[in-house]
Amino acid sequence: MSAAPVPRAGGDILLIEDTPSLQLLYRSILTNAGHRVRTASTAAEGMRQLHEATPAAVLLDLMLPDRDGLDLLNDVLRHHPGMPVVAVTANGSIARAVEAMRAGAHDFLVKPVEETRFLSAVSNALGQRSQRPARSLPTRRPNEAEVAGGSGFLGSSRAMRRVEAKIRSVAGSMATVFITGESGTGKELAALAVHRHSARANGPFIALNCGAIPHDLMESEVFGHVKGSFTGAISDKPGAAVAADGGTLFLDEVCEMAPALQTKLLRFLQTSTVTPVGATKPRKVNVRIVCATNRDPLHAVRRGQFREDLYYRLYVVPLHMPPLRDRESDVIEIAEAALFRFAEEEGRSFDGFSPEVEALFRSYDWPGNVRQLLNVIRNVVVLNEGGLVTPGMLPEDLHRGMVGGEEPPGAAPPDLTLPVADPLAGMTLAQIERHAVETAIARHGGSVPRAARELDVSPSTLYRKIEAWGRGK
Amino acid sequence: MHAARFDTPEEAGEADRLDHLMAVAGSQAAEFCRILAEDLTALRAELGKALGPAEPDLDRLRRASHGTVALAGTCGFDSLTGRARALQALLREARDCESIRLHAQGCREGLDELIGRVRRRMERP
Repeated sequence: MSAAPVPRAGGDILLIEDTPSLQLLYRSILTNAGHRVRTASTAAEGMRQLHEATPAAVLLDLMLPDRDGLDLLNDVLRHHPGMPVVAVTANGSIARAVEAMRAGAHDFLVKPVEETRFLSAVSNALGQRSQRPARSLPTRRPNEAEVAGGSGFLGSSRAMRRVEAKIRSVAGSMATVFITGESGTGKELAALAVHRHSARANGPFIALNCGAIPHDLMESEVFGHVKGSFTGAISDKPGAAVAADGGTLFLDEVCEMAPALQTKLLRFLQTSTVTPVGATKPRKVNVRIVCATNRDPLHAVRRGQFREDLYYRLYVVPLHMPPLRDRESDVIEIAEAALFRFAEEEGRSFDGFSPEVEALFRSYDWPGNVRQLLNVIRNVVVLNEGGLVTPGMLPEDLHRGMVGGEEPPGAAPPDLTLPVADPLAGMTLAQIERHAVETAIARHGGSVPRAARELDVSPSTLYRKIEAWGRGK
Repeated sequence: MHAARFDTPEEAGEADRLDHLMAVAGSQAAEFCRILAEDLTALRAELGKALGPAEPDLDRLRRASHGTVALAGTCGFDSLTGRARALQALLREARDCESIRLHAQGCREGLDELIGRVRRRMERP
């Protein structure tokens, strides 16, 4: 058993746990670490003790004989706002731990509780108590220099305000954050924000893309290796988990991780120890995990691509990054900031966007999200000298991807042609065929032979179809 | 969490988890073992009751399996913790009654073994 961390200072702890042996053990661990502990075996007894003397922190088992632990948590926080409560739960009720975090718990512990983790959670809770008010995200709006600089979000939409609020509440805890969202929505930025606003901000932030590293090298990348452990291991390598010691390890595209490595990751999460490839002794590390995926993790679990137990271990505090199309006017704010930032980099001068471009940006679907928007702006800045950005300056593929969008000025006049993909939606194949034939005949001034040549069928085929449609009328 | 099982040769050099827990409990070591054995026995009884009827009592099993994870895991009894977690996973889906029964039975037998170990530790001078 490794040495437990020395707490910052002993504090008064109220321990609410109904299992006598665990109560005794937790009390012993806390007492040995210099804390003063009062115990309660039921919710009622816990509330009574809480009213008698306010503790510095509460350790709360979520499964109590007389009352639901979450109810009790809400009660505790209603009577003692700001009281750091560490929720304790068995693995099977991790979903409830997530609810507990949402309800305002400072941290949560999964049974069986690891002694070091147990004491650091208590120590952090006591630290939070002494550091109130809790740290918060900066309230100023980030400037344009921060676009694509990785230091913050732009946009004042309700969706992003919710994301920032969630980051604020989770940053101070050790809870694992599971970020979901489409590609380009800023998942890594969110992970970085969690790190920067946590007590680990001065520690390292190590990001690892599980989908970009060959499976054979993944174990070595995460856990490291010792010299000579395999061909090409010419020196010791610490691995991302060790490099992130004291900080945050961000596992991007975590659902792409090979099954064998998922087992090792689970072990790492349970023991907080890493054993580099080829090493014999495990090493203890203190790492907070933040992970992300652009897939539906539960779907990956159902398809057997992602371990269920790992899913429940990681999916503690979910954080969903909204797609750009759901972020109201954020698209304009981000576009403007990016325009001026990129213009400065390229030595150009732009006056902003024309109303047509703004309307186009608002109505576009942005399947590539912020990343796509930034690429579009970069394209505009690089290929144009400056001035007001008009629709004609935008990349062609943006117009092609528009649904019901206006053609840019100067574009070829609309011809009699097939409707673009979406207007065909909902039509049957027969209707689409008739539309294609009629459009071609109209385009050739009513000439069936010329329309047939264009459609690469014989004129008699078209005459037969026209006759059949006539009969059908 | 200390991963020591009690009888695997490769971990023979590691401190026994239960001894460690007793050391943490200090002067209350014997008392701790007694309480732990009682908790484990109660848990075993819960599992027995939940398995008694023709259809297992799923709520009761769920509570007992949570307790098994917490207590067996605290004692470093990994194989039993694994079985209890597998049982939890089945219970979450509440499917395949025979599998549930089988895992619950495995937990009950594992608890028997763990109770035996705790009692032997308790009796050791």
